Amino acid sequence: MFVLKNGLIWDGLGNDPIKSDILVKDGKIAEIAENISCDGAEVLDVSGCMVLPGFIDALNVYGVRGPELRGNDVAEHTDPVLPHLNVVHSLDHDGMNFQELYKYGVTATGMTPSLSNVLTGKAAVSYTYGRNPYEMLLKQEVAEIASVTSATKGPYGSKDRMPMTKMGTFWLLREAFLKAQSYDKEKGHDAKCEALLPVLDGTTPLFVNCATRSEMKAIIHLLKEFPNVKPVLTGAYGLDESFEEVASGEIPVIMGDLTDGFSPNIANVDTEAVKALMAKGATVAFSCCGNRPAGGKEVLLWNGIMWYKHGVCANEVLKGLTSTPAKLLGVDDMTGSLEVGKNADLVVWSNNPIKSYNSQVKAVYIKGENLLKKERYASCW
Amino acid sequence: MLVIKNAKIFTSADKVYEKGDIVIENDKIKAIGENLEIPCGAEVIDAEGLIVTPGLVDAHSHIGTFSFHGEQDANELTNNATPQVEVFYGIDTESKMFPRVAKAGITTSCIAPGSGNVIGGMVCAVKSHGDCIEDMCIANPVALKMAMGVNPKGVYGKRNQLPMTRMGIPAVIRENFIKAQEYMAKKEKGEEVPFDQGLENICKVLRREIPVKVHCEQFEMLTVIRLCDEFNIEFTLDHAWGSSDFYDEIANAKNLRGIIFGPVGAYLTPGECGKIDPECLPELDRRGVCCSIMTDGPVLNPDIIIAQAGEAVRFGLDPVKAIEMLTINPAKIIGIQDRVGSLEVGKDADIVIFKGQPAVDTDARVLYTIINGKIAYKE
Repeated sequence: MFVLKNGLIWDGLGNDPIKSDILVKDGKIAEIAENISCDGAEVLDVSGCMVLPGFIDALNVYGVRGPELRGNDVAEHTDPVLPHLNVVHSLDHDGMNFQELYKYGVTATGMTPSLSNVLTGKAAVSYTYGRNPYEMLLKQEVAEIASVTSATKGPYGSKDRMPMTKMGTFWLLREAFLKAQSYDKEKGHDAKCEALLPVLDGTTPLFVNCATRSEMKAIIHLLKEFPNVKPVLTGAYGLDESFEEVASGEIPVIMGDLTDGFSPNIANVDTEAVKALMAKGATVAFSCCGNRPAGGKEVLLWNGIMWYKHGVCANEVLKGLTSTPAKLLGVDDMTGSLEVGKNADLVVWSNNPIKSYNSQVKAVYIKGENLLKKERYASCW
Repeated sequence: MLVIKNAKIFTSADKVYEKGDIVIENDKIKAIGENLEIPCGAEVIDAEGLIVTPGLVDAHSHIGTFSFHGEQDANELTNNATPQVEVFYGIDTESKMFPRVAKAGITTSCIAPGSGNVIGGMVCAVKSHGDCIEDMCIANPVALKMAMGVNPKGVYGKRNQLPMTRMGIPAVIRENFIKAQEYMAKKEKGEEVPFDQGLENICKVLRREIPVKVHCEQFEMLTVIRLCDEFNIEFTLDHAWGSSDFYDEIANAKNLRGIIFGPVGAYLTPGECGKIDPECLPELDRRGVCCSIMTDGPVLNPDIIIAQAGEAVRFGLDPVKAIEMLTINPAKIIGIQDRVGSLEVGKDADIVIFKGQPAVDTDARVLYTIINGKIAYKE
């Protein structure tokens, strides 16, 4: 039990920072108020510092990719349609710890299988440090992951297998949903159809990785045939003001990484349109997802910074790095904002990290435990 | 004539003007100082409240040699050593990366062959704007590219050729450099030797006209330091991840021109990519090592060159030093400091005007990039 005293509390919900104390008890945020005094609580003076929710990388392959530079544990490229895989079983806590994401204030991450499959399995959300992968999990089966980018052609087209073209990609996606729609369990178990049932009825959202405007328009069209499916567009580099479904908040967006120089998409992102859509009420998270297999611990913050540089206000940038990804990943009851009752996943920064590079992480708490003071688990990576 | 007025000017020449002016005539800086007289008829940019720095110099880049469609002209993977080739001829100057780097404030890039070969070829320095390679290139060669580690191993080991291991790489380097020593000795004695462009190029290194530019990380930097002492040649440590483990060795390396650090922001994997430590930059600087920061373009979005300098500031680097690591330090390391890297009379008019303090304010953005006295980018 401890109190962080006199910090600037920035809640991650889009509000301005306020000067306040914050009481952490049993790994949760117990109180946010001025002048908290609580018997038995350790008092930590954080005057002049900012207290932020831990950042959440909405979608990445940290912890699940494995130690190899290319061959890895997310690329099950044996079949382009594998909606029944669960990424959790690729999570290696050691691989996650090795990335040291917490050193840049990232406390949780969405984890996705390879984006080179059309339907590639279930995403999960994990903390970024721990000893046991299953104990690090915040939640599993948070989304079904699909991809309609050119990447889906790579592992298959060259082997004369579908998809060799985007026509093939979109057909395989539609075919899988059509099959699931007419699936009759009595006639025999089909794991792929089973996996898509909660997607078809809207229980589990469908995250669709798409890079270009055409891909985004095409997937929105295709999904009209399956009206209960709840899509989230990821990558989404082709976003412009014509996407009314995004402007209204009906289809949320997880913007992809802007730091990868090899990406042909990022130079053409219409940042003004993204700002205009946000002003109209779009739900937008900022992430490292998209073309890049994975960046380093700095990259999520850099993405937030780039959006700030493009003119998104700092409160909205922070929201897009914390409470919005938490909501899209279905873990907003546990983390992603500084509110009473949430897990104490919070970071003490010496300065405002969205606005100044001269900002250092002073403490990183996951469930109230400061990782910077914690003994490191031995690594075999 | 072009005049920039009333700017806060970071000259990278031991001087910061709180409110200064720069007069540009043709492609050079004609005057710099406070309250300069504006020549009549000059085009004036009022930079009141803005920040001016020298054009940024990216000391390690491959732009124009990799396309977005997978085509590449950076790695001549037909032999583990190809010192005879020049990246000058492999650069697509029509590449969209050139306007993109100009937009990011980068006015000069040191473009190198890739790291697929142990000895990759000759490196040149290129402005971000111009008509063709002859027009854009300001120095060729500036270095001979070499590479340690997984890159050459991955290419040749797979073919069951040398080098398949880390110990194979120095063997390839020694063989080529000893051959070049013999070639040079024979020529100096006046003996007739068949002309060999590759050996001629290595002789430029042996005569200390240019350094070797070595891709290396972690403990392999120590191998590079030893090899370069053995041949008494100048070198740069490029990438240099893990430098914080070897402060003494790096600071004491007598043939070292400098560190070319980056890119930051990579996924960590055991081995070469196990430790990426921009926190080494303030300490190396304190110990007198000339440090610069690179994007490894097109690996990173060119805008990230500033973010990387920002990471050094995060770990305690003075913001003025951070600007030097993006300007005069890389220019010195490449050996083009007589033309670029600082704002001084007589130097090329390569200038960036920022709104906000680069590497401190995260929203600092480039309003103008001026190359050879001409506005190459304007917001």
